[in-house]
This record gives sequence, C-alpha cells and structure tokens, in this order.
Amino acid sequence: MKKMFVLILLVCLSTALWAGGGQEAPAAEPVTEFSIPEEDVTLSFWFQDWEGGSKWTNDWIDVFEGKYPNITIDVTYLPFEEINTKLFPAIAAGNEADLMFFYDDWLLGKDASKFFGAVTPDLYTYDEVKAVTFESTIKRYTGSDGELYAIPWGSGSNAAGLLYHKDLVDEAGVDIESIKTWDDLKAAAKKLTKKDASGKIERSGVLFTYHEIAYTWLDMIAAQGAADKLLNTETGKWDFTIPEAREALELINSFVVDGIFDPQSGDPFTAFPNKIGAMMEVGPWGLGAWGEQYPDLELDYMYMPLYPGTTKNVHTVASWGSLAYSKNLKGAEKNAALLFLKEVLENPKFFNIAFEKNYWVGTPGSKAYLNDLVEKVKAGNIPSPKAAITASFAPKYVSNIDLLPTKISEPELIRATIFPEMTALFIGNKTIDEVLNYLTKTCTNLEQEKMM
Amino acid sequence: MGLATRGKSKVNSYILIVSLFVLAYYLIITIGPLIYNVIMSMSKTDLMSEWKFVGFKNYELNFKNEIFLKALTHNFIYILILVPVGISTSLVIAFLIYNTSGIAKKIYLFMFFAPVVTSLIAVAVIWKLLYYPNVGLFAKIIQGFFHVDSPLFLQDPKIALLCIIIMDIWKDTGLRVVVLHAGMEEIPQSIFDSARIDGASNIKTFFKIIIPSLRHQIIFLAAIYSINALRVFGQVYMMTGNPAGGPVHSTQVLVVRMYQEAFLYTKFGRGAAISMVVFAMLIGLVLIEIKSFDKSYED
Amino acid sequence: MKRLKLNKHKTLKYTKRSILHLVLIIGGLFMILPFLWMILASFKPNIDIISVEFRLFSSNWTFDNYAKVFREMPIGRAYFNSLIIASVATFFTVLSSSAAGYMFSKLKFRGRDLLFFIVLGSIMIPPQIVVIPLFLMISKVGLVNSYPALIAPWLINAFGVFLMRQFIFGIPNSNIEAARLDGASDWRIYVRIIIPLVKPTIAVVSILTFIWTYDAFLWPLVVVSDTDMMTLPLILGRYAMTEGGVIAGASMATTSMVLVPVLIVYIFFQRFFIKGLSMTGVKG
Repeated sequence: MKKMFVLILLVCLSTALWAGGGQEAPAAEPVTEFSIPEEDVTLSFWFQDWEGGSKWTNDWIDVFEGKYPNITIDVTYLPFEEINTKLFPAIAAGNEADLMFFYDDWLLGKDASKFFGAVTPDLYTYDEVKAVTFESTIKRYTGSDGELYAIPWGSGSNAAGLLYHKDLVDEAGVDIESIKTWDDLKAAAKKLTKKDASGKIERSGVLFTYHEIAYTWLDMIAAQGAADKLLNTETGKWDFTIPEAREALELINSFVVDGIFDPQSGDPFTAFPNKIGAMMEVGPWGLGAWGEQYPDLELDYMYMPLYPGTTKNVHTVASWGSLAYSKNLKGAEKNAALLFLKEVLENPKFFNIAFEKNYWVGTPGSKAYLNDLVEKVKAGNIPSPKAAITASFAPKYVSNIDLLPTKISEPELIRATIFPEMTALFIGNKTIDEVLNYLTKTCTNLEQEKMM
Repeated sequence: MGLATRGKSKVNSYILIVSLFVLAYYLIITIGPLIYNVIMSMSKTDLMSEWKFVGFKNYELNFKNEIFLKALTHNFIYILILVPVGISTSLVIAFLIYNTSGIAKKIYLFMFFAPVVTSLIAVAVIWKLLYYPNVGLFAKIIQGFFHVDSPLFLQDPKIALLCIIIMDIWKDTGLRVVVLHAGMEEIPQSIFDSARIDGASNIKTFFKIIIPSLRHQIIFLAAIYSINALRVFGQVYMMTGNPAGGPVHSTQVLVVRMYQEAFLYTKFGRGAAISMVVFAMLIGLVLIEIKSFDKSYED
Repeated sequence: MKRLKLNKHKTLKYTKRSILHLVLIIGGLFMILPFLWMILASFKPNIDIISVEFRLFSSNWTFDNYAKVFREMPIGRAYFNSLIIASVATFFTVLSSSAAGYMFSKLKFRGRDLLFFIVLGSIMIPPQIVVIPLFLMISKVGLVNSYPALIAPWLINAFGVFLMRQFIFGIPNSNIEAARLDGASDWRIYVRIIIPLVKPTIAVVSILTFIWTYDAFLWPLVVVSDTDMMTLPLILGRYAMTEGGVIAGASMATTSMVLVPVLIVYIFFQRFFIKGLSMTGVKG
C-alpha cells in the first residue's frame, strides 16, 4: 500500500512540474535585418470584437493582402473580456496568435520584453517611433532592455467626456458649446432633468452609472495639481482624504444631492438608450456601441468640461489599444509580422478606412493620422460623423494625458475598488468620510502589494 | 493489483485495465493539477515572470481582503438559502402533484421539469434581461399590477444575490420535484390508510409520514445543491458580469473571485489560494454529508 | 342534516382541489414563461426589448437578430461542435461509469476503497480550480482548440460512477456467481449481465451528462480561441458579455437557437427523462 502511495505521489508531482514548467529561455537569435518577405506566409491575428472594429479590420486586411499577396492574415475576433483573460495564459503556454491586439495597461508592472516580440531595433529605432506617436502610448511597452515591444493603435478615450441625446438637448434648449466648466454642466443637466408629479426623477439630467466616473474623479484631483498628494509612488501610499479629493467627490455627489442624477436609475446599458438619462459620462466608444445596437437614437459627444477653478483637463487613466507580435516568430514569419505593424503605423489607408466608413470614434495612436484628420475637418472635408467627433475632442484628449504612476491594474483599481465605493456613496450606503478612508486604506494595500 | 476471483490464478484483466484507466485519468485530470494548484497558491506568479515562493502570504492577504471575505459570506448565504428554500418548495410542489393523477399529473411534471433540461448559461442570460430595472418584464409586472416602484433586482446591492439564487432555485425545481415525487409514490398505501384511520389530517400526514420517508432523497438533494452552491460560477458571472461581482461586490462569490484574481489581474497565486479554500470547504461539506447519509440508513 | 353535511364536504373538497390545480398551473406557467418571452424577444428590435413601455407584442417584428447571429457567428458549426462533444462525452461517461461502477460494487481487490475515494474526491475539485494547470498541460501537447481537449474533462464522471455503483449493489449476486461458475470473465459479465440491467441508470447518466457538457462554459472558454471550434454557450457569451452590455436581440436569438431544439427533444422524450430519473432515485 505504502509503495503504491509513494508511486502515485511521484507520478503526480512529475506531471504537475512538467505541466507547470514555464517557458524555456528562448534560444539566442541571430539579429535579422527586417526585410519584406517573399515567401508565402500565413499569420494568425487576435483582434477585439466590436462591430465597427471587425468591419474595419476586415477592410484593412483586404488592403494589406492586396498589397502583399503572398501574406495571408487569418483573423479571429474575440470579445474584450475574452482577450483580456486569454492573452497572458496563451502567451505563457506558448500558443498565442502571431499578431495580437491588446491594451497597454495590461502590462502595468510587467516587463514587456517577456511577452512580445521586439519592434525596436529590428523595425525602427526607438526615437523613430517616439517621434510619430504620443509618449503616454509607448511608456508601458518599453521593456526592461529599453526596447519597444508593441505599437500603438488607438485609444477608446475613456472618460473623455459625455455622450448625450441630441434631441433631448435641443428640446430643453441647452447649448452644448456653452458648457465650459462643471458648474455649467450642472446647470445644463438641471434643465435636462425631468421629474414627475411627486418629485421623483423620471429622467436624470446626467448619468454616472458607469465605472468611468471613477476615472473622472481621479482626473479632477489631478487637474487641481494634487496628483502627487494623492499617490506617493515611493511609499505606495494613497491618500484620498486630501481636500482636493473630497471636494471633487462632493461635486460629483452633488448631482445626486441636488436631484439631477438618480443613482437608482439602474443598468446604464438600458437606462441611457431608453432616455432615462439625457447625458452619460462615458468614453466616446459608447457612440459606437449604442449607435450600432439602437440605430434610431440621435447621439453626439462633448469633451469633458473643466473642473471649476482649473484651466486644463488632465486624463490620469488611459489605455491604448496596441498591436504586438509573438516572440516565437522567426525568419519570414517574423518579418511578415513586422511588416504588418509597419503598414499600420505608416499607411494612411489604415485609419482612412475607419474615418471614411464611419467605423470608429476615438484617439488615433499616431500624430500623423490625427493631425491629418484635424486638417481635413478644418478644411471642411468631413469624412464621416464619427470622424468629425474624433477631430473635435481627440487632440485635446491626447495632449492632456498625464498618467497616474500607479502599478495597480485598471480593472482592480477602478472597477473593483473606486467605482463600487462611489456607487455606495451615491445610493446612500456610505458617507463621504467612510468612502475616502476605505479607499485610502485599500488602494494603499493594493499598491504596496504590487511593490512587494 | 490483487486477484479478485476465486479459483483463477492469473490476474483479473478487467480490474487491472479499468482501475488503471481510472487511476491514470484522475492523476492527470485531477490530482496532478491539484498539486500544481497547491504549489501555485504559495507563490507569486503571473505565469510569465519569475515564480516567487511566498509561503502562506496569499492566504493571509486573501483573508484580510474585504472582497474575499464578502465572497466567502456570499457562498454561505447561497447554501443557506438555496438548499432549504429549494428543497421545501420542491417538497410542497411534489406533494401537490402527488395529489393529482392521470393526464394532469403528467402535464404538471412535464411543465416543471422543462427548465431542468435547458442550458444554465442561456437561462442566466434570459433572467438577466427579465431582471432589468424599470424595463425588464418582472419590473413591468410589478409596476403594472401592483403599482409600486419595481426593485432594482440585480442592480440593488441588497437583493442582487437573492435574485440570482431565485433563478437557480427556479431552474432545478423540476429535478427535485421529480425525485421527491417518485419517492412519495413509493410509500406504500397501507401506511396512509392506517394514518387515515387514526384520523390524521393531510398536513399531519405530510410532516409525520412523507418527510421522514423521503429523508434519503432530501439528504441526497441537500448534498448536491450545497456542493453546487459552493462551486457556483456561471450564473453569477453571466448575470452580474461587468463588473464581475455585482454592484458594490454584492454578488461576489469565491470561484468568480478566483477567476478574477487569476485571469483578470494575473495574480495566479492569489487565485490558486482561493481555490484551495473552496477545496477545503468542499471536503468539509462532503464529509458532513457522507456522515448524515450513513446515519440516515441506521434507522 | 346528514345531506347538508355531505354537500358542504363536497364543496370544500372541490374548492381544495381547484386551489390545488390553480397553484400548480400558475407554478407550471411560471416555469415556462421565461422561454416564451425569450422566443418573442428574439423577434423584436433591441429598443423594443428594453423599452420602458409594455411592448410584449412589438409592432416591429423582425428577423434581424437571427440574421445578425447567422452573419457574424458560425452557428451551424457551433451546433455541430456542441453535439459532437456532448455525444462523445456521454458515451464515454456511460461506459466508464458502468464499468467502474460494477468494479467498485461487486469486485474486491486491494486498493479498491482508496481508488473509490479518489474518484469521489474529484467531486471536491471543481473544474474552476484545475482550469489553469489543465490548460497549460493541454497547450504543451498542442491540443488547444481541439475536440479531444474539449471532451477530456468529461471522460469519467464521479457522480455517474457513484450512481452506477449504488444501483449495481442492488443486483442480486446470484446471477453473477452463476456466470462465474460457467467460466465467464468479468468482461463478459459486464457486457452480458450488468449493462442490460442498468438501463435506467444509463438513461439518467446519459441525460445529465449530455446536459452538462452541452452547457459547459468555463472550460471551452479557456481552451477555445478559434472561432470554428466554439460551442453554443460561447456564442451566447459573445452577445451577453460585450463592453456595451447584453446585446438583447442577438442574445435572445442565440438562446432560442440553443434551447428550442432541446425543448423539442424534451417534449417528445420527456417520458424517458422523468421516468428514468424517478427510477434511480436514492433507494429508501
């Protein structure tokens, strides 16, 4: 019996170690010069699945394959949640796709060189890339060796402003252009609020039911110049009890207190399309999402107004959709992947597809694309309604990005920690003091855990 | 392996092959991964960077973490509501159906059992839509027929978990009803007759005769559903998926939290530690159940 | 006097019976209502499904939701995948449960109880725990996105083994002894005697296994990234878990396509479901 037991244990242990044995160190690879491959190559590609995105990518792949007929791109569309949870296990197991779309904030606190294939110095020099794109984009996928391991594609620009129903805004006689500060926003939202006979809110002027309101709160704190007071990166301590944080939260909560936002209005994904709210704080991606699902809605977007007393917005949490390729690729396949990234970064056709066919609203990752669009729109040559919105807010958005140097990932910091607390405040479960104290304690724990 | 049949001197190939197959299967699919999991629960890893051994730190951090503790509590609540309420409602319904006969009985069993054969994921999505505040069917029914404000269901931190449990009870009621009903039909008529002669009312019959006769079935069902409540994942993930864990973490449960920590935050060590806690609780639960099961046979 | 009493008694009895049936009918309808709603909703545009007004019967019936799903998802392939996986898994589970059940209940050998304990113990290890190491193992042998990988966790099912063992306990030993005296091996006994006798339990185990595997979500989610290998629940996940919330119409169309075939099978074969389950209830 005993012998049997020991034998079983040994078998298990070896199975476990064999399965868990991670990556072998990649064999030292001779540095290959990048060149356009002549052989037939097929590359697999994981891209995020959203309506505009899949159409855009399909059109783009047609363009790319047309230009390089020997290269075939085999794309699989995965929903955001799936890419988020699948990507790293797949890389760990060694069977990731050849080309991958991902969000740079997933690399927070990690060394990019371990995950993806190198873009510099094989394809570009670091400075070349830095010149064409925005600094906040490439920060996170610079590896420990100082090289770049992905290229920026674009940002959904979360918490860049507010989505609103054009018809409701016109009906209430609100002039969107005149909203410059949050005080203006509050006044406008008050006009948009509808109450029934008993004083219950039938339609909120503005909805804060989606987690992006948490980004906005952090942005407000930073706009007051208090980002360093909020987070001390040396000690990993967060302090939400600072007056800037308190006042900003009180401002947001005043929408509840003054009867402009009904925190009990329920699920944002049904409340907003149903006009239970006239405006909603959400990234411009909402235009795409709701525009596709409910094509009869008349939606438009406005850039975030200023915190009272400040002159500039700050965006402290931004994630950039990015493209990378598998570090397992060699030779012709690797060159094909690099070629794909090169075309995305340099070929104007790439973004023009999105702009002309009304596929997307967001902030492009490349200065050239953005400037080009802004010039076009200024000259009166508007490729599409969504492109016009991009031109109107993206330049401001991207110049105001100043990332909070936290190591906590966005899902944990925003969705699991800060936003639930704000919700608790809105519905009256907690007082402001309780929220500020809880967040100070919890975020500090999370931050210091990351530093361990 | 040993010899099993008398008179034969060669090894019994049936036993050898079947048990080797079973053993190999469970080593690969269950025990190997479990050991890996134990090791991972004592490490800090995101599967890509270096594997750091941290002893029991993950467990310590988990038990200090408010969300983990909430998840733990919610699993207990899940068991404490799902099992008693689920079984008692099924008992009552089974008894009612028992008192019918013929075509009516067949129709009732048919209707109640229908949700059982359907896909849990599909049902979770349907109920999520039904539960939509203000606009969902349930909300409309409450507002329309009872003229009160509809509750927020899955958006209300106070009742979100309860809403999920109700859906769960709804789905498997038919299974419990069929099992209990079959048990009732096996009770010999003679027992009922003597009870009737003694002047027992229907309700007394129910409590004094039927429930004791069904104790094996009841314990069996309690066992299955308490285990399910501990391992619950799909329903919660689907119904309060984004963010997983519901409004203010009110529907967070252990396995969902494990999935989050591991796959969303790439804290695989923390996730593994949570799964080991689930494992320990399951062992405790199963031991309790085996004990009560054996005890129920003692009479 | 007696006459009046009898009438009163009869009325009371009728009242009781009508309440009984009323309660059961309402309960039964409550069981079916969500599915009816689902089918109706699958033919409505999104805004009608979530609108504030009561639009049970929309004025804009449409096939758009179905068209969308067919256009975007390999739904036919997903059906095929789900069916193949469920059928093969069920076959193996029935085979292994009955074979192991016979071994554990009628045959004695060293280590039998330990092995049975291991099998039972697997119930305590929910798939969610082993997902990561299993996934890494599957990747190492290059079986991601494959049928074997999708079927692997369901080759042997502890519940099935347990049920079979319980049931086979009840088979009189005399048949088996007699066969042994005639020189039959355990294989022969298994095929000729055990299998015919465990038909009801086979029915139950098949049904439960089929339902569980048809419905499997987490494991396929982890193992499948290739669109062609998706199973039906995964397609459902695509429409139910987007960043923009649940895409109401498309997800109801998908659930209809997933559930309606199952319900149709159920309508025709429900006798077997219910009878089989009742017969293998835990013996009192």
